[in-house]
Amino acid sequence: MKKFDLVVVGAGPGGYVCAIRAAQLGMSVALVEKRATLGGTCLNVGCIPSKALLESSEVFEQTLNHTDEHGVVVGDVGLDLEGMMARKDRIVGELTTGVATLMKKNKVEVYTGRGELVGADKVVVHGDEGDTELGAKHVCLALGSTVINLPFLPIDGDKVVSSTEALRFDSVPKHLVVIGAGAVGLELGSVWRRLGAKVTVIEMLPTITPFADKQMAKALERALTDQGLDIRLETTVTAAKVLKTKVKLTVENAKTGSDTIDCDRVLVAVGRRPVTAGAGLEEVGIKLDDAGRVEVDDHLQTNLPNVYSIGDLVKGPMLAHKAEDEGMAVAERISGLPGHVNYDVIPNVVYTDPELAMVGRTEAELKEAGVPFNIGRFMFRANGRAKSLGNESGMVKILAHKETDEILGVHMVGPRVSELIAEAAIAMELRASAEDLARTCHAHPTLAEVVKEAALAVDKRALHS
Amino acid sequence: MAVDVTIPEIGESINEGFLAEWSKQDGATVAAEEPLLVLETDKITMNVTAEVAGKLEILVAEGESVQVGQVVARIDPAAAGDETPIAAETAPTEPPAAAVREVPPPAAESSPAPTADLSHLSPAVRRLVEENKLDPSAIKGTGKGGRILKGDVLAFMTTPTTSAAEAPAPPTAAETAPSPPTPMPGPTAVVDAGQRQSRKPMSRLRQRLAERLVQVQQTTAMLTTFNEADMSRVMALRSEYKDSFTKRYGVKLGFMSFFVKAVVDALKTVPEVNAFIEGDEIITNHYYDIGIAVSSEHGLVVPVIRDADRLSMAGVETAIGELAGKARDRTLGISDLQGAVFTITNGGIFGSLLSTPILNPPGSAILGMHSIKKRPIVVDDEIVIRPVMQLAVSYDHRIIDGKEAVTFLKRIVDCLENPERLLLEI
Repeated sequence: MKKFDLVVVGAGPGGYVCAIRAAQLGMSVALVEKRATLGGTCLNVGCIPSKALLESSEVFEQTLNHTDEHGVVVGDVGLDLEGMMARKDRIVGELTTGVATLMKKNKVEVYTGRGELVGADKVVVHGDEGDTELGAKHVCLALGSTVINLPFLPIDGDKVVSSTEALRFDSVPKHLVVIGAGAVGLELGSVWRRLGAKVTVIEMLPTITPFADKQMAKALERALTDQGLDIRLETTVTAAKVLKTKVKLTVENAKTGSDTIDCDRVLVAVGRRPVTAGAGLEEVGIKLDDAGRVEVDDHLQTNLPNVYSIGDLVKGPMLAHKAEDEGMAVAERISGLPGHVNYDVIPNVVYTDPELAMVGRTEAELKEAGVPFNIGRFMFRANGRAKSLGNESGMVKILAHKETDEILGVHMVGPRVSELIAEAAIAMELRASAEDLARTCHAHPTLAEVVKEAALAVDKRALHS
Repeated sequence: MAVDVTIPEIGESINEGFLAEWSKQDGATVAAEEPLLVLETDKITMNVTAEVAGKLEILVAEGESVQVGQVVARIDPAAAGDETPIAAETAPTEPPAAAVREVPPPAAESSPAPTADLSHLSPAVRRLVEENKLDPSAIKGTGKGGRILKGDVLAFMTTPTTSAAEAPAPPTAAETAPSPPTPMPGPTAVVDAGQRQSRKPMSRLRQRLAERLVQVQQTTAMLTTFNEADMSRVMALRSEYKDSFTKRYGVKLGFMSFFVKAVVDALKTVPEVNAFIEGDEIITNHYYDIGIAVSSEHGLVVPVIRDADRLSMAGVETAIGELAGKARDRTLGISDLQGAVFTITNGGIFGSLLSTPILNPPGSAILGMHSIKKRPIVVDDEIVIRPVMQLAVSYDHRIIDGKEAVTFLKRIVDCLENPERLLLEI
């Protein structure tokens, strides 16, 4: 039996980053993955392929509807869905093989097969060619998550699908109903709407993207509705009938009552749950918390002292970058270094158009916590770069402590704000004040100037409003 | 190798103090943990003790201003054994490793450097430091790796330390005094026997107190209302249960816990009293941190009982005991003294029958307790003898009206005369 300093089970962004970092720190590392390719949900059927399709569908829509604004005349515009999917698959392929190369470079041994913990210091890999036993001084569980099914509407992969299938439809649906107005539902809903589908989004809660600041969620909802998404809030699906050629949904709205919707495909995007089954967790006595996640302490240690767990499997937001940071922290902890994750400064992004990005606390959260704060807002409408891009919806909002001026939350809806949020995260990580941001020179003309103006607005001295 | 004696961190925002007194003489042998000197600041006086045993070499004389981090003496541990054996007995024979540290350059060295390179500061911090001509090395940074945050500078600027340091108090006071200057005693007037006056510098604590008291008189519309409480029920309760209370909780059941609880109850009944003015706004507190004026031999201090509403009677007594002990031992920290929403002062322990207390801002009211005297009073049309305490509440009439103040004090009286009200909350 081969022995390793660290065996990482699950090669998603949390697991493979943990493996690299541990190898950098001089450990012998094995990485176990049940998929044939590395990168987990994120690279294979999540973040990356959806970004590829969002970009392609945006090009399609721009070409179809918006070239004339730029004075560009095009002939017939057509859609080659197969070509679009091939591009997406190529990107996914490049990235997953890239991860495999990284593993080789860092001398991380990759084992393909389902990993099963059979004791605190042993992992069995159930591969195609039989079982392999790995000895493990430390184990990092990074098994990830899987989609939640609705009991009355089981995913069949054809008419009722999860995000995985919605990334590879072979034709544009006529009418796609998306259940759940979180990041996945809104992004994939946007993709298929741009490509020509009628899209209805059903959300149980009174707001889309419930994790976001209320004002931002509302702004995004308005923008998406203007684009033609039919968003129905406070609405639940009460019954569903899958017929030969269509699905018949009965929905119930808190105010307008019940309604039926006929559609050809339904995307169930109501959330994800941690994968805790099939990896021997229960058998070796790994404790789960009330929400069915692996229970870990502040150092991501499970109740077995040499077994750690990270990412979607443990508490906190299910985000690739959160898992990555946790993977790094675990590798560093095992090496005796003080690795840690700052859970107060984890950005969150929805890649719709406009995009939504946030870091830190929302207005509602600050109010509830009784923290006094000032608000600075600035609209993209007044920004030269946004106007040039032809994308000027949205705003940046900065919440800073009333006394110390420390930035407590930054919320954005607008063009490419996924890239702008990094500035806010650095500022918050360094505990900067809004004035610090305001006094930092920003290139002109850039979208980032809106961040600076919002920071100025905290002190009511924005220049261009 | 000699170990430096440095001025310790005193509190969040205090950077300098006043070396009031050396408890040991130059050249004396000291034991570890033994008090070396008395340090006075605006808010408190405290003892600084020896880290190691050895021979003391004093570098800074009594009466000088000192900065946090400044080296004021050295202790030579090697010389510990060769003089007085009394100290050596209690002292560990070898100095703890931590005590033999390389001491960073004292603050005194870096402070007169206004032209220092500020480029390592964040832009907002840089602006504040430049605008207000601050010495960044005097500001305690709470950010990553000790970075100074904007909030740190703002907190630094609002501390009384800096404002007191900026105000050259004595000359301006003389200038504004309307009366002609009183004849100055001769420059040698110190403590010669037989002199009709003597003169000594005011302690920092006294100066600050004086400044604040005058400020309160000038900036508030202070008014006092009086009442009296028949203390017989409280006294009966106390004598009946004092033994079992002490047995159960290890603290004595004093009067103070009744008063603290009565005050909390009255504050809840009349929330207008638990408020203060800031600019054009009235800020109402929804917590009950009660300051208790404590007179120690080192001066008057007002330590604060936190969240008195959540404490039991025993909890209040324990808190008072701890704070009084700290005041006696000069170990009160700044955090022990800040943020009282209401203050109780007890002139009764010195025998006062009636007095008008002065507000302790930001609190807008203060309760004065007095001595309990047996007095003839009329109960049910009969003259009876009862133990009575006069009570006074001074309040800021700008935000508290007479009706509220009187109701508030009446409520305290009710709670004291019928202590079961505290239990039933009625």
